[in-house]
Amino acid sequence: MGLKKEISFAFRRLRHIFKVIFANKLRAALTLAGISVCVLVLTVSVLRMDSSFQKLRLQFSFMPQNTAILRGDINPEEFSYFRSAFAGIGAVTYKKAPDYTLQTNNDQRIRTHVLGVDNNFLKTYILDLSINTGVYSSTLTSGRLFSENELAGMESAVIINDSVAFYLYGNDNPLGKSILLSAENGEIKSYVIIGTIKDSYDSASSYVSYLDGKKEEYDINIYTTEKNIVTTSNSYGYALLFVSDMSLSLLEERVADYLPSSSVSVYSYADIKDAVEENHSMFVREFVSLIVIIVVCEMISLSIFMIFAIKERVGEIGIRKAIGASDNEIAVQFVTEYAVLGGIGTVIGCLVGFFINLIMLMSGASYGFSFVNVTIVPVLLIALFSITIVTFLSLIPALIARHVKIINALRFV
Amino acid sequence: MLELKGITKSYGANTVLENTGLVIEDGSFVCIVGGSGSGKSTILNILSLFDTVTSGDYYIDGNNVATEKNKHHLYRKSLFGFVFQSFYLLEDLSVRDNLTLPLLYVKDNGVSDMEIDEIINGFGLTSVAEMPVKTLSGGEMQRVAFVRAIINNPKYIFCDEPTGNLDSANADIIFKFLCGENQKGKTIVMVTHDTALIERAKTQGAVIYGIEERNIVRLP
Repeated sequence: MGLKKEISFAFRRLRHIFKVIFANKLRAALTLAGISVCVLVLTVSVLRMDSSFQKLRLQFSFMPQNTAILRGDINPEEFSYFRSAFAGIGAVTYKKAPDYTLQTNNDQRIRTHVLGVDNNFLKTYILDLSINTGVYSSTLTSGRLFSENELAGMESAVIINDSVAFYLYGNDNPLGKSILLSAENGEIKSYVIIGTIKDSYDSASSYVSYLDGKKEEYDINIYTTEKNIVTTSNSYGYALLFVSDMSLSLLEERVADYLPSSSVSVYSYADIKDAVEENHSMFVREFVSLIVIIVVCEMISLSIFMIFAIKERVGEIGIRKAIGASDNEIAVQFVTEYAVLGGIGTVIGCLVGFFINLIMLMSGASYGFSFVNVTIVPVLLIALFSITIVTFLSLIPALIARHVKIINALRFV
Repeated sequence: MLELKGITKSYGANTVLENTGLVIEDGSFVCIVGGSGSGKSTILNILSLFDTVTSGDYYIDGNNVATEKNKHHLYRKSLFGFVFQSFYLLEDLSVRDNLTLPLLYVKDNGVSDMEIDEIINGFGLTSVAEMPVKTLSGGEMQRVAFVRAIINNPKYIFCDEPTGNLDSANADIIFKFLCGENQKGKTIVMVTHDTALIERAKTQGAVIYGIEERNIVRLP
């Protein structure tokens, strides 16, 4: 019976607190907005980081364990020699490929990047250590890889990405059709499309944003076997990925023999993984620092707002004390009010943040995020963190309210 | 019984009451009168435990509360009710929420929802019970304040210029309410400078006190 009375009494007080909170709608809305926005920023940020880590882990799970990497400035002529001497050379990534112009059927001219590659390039992986840290693979979606004749430069063929194919031919089959590419020197040449590959992160993102036809330039990738395109590049390849059973020490010897004037280091799969993870972690640390600063600023603003709200309610505190509320009951009331507001604001912030992240993941399916699982655990941790922090912050205004003297407070009514 | 014994109250260098006393018997009707700044509100603040004495003793039913500051809220919520000139209501909350505010701080208040409805009905507040207080007239607000003062069945009711902001009709209603509570055995302590109200109180057998030379004195 005693417990029932206690529960009934606590419920009566809680119901009163809800009434007090929503009696002043502007104050409640401002507090809720402050808390919700703060939690929203935190939720989206943490979920994006979680997605990014998941993506990286998955990419590495697809990468062969016997992959090695040569990293550094590579002399292009030595590279050609080195490449011809060893089977198993994988991908080359470029800081910049030469500008070409793609002439479309309706005589549009689109500036594009044309990469000179071989089949190994398309079979293996591209390591990107920039802000979009990750390992990207080229997946053939239709057609075939290059034939012996095409690799030897006797026939001109291209493999294009899905977005380019869709732009040029819609839902028609692009295979067997020809495109015209004009080089910087004005030479125009016809190339037969032999295959299409899945959009890579960069090409797809650039292409999709320009698909409405409002922009004239396209940053899309077309792959050919034209060796001169590689050698006339005005930038050097900076990473070579090997899928090879050679030991690292043997690979280092070969590099020293074949790339004497290049400044190249050899790394193992584990090294690559560590380097990428370190790179990624560094980015995440900077990102987290930024988020922490934003959250701390938000929290300081919130606590200032809470303190001013108490100053505005001094008269109310005086009335409550006059009719018998103890100092502790006043403090508990304000802590409970902010805990309730914190709870509601947290739920709103977490839900909106969760769905924003979900929409970002869904809309970013072509950018390689489609395989990321949406996890609920980080959201629950954020909710717990948020409610704890708001309740903790409410101790400051609660203590101020506790020490208000009735005789002074009633002058503010 | 309330008893002030040898009390002094100073605000910095300004001494308002000096070594004075007052005895208020249970069930009495007491008026404290005087002009602005005379110290009448100071006496009421001390009696109602809103303020403390600089020196001296204050006994409530034989207990010296001047030395028990941490228990003042217990006396306020169990023994005291208040009616003020400025009503002191929480204007964003409804009439019902304001009336029941004192019950929030008493676990076993023994007042059921049905009894609250009866009280609201008895004071003609049923039609405005769920409305925010800020939408009421002054007379209605003072009725709400009065009901809030008595809802906890207090032994003492303190009033500070209770009819100060009311027209004569509403002032009459409030005064009759106070007389009614006094007849039920409650002690009424009223501070006012309204001479008409003092005269009416006298007809109800009120004991009148004034302040002269920082001393509480009984007036004829």
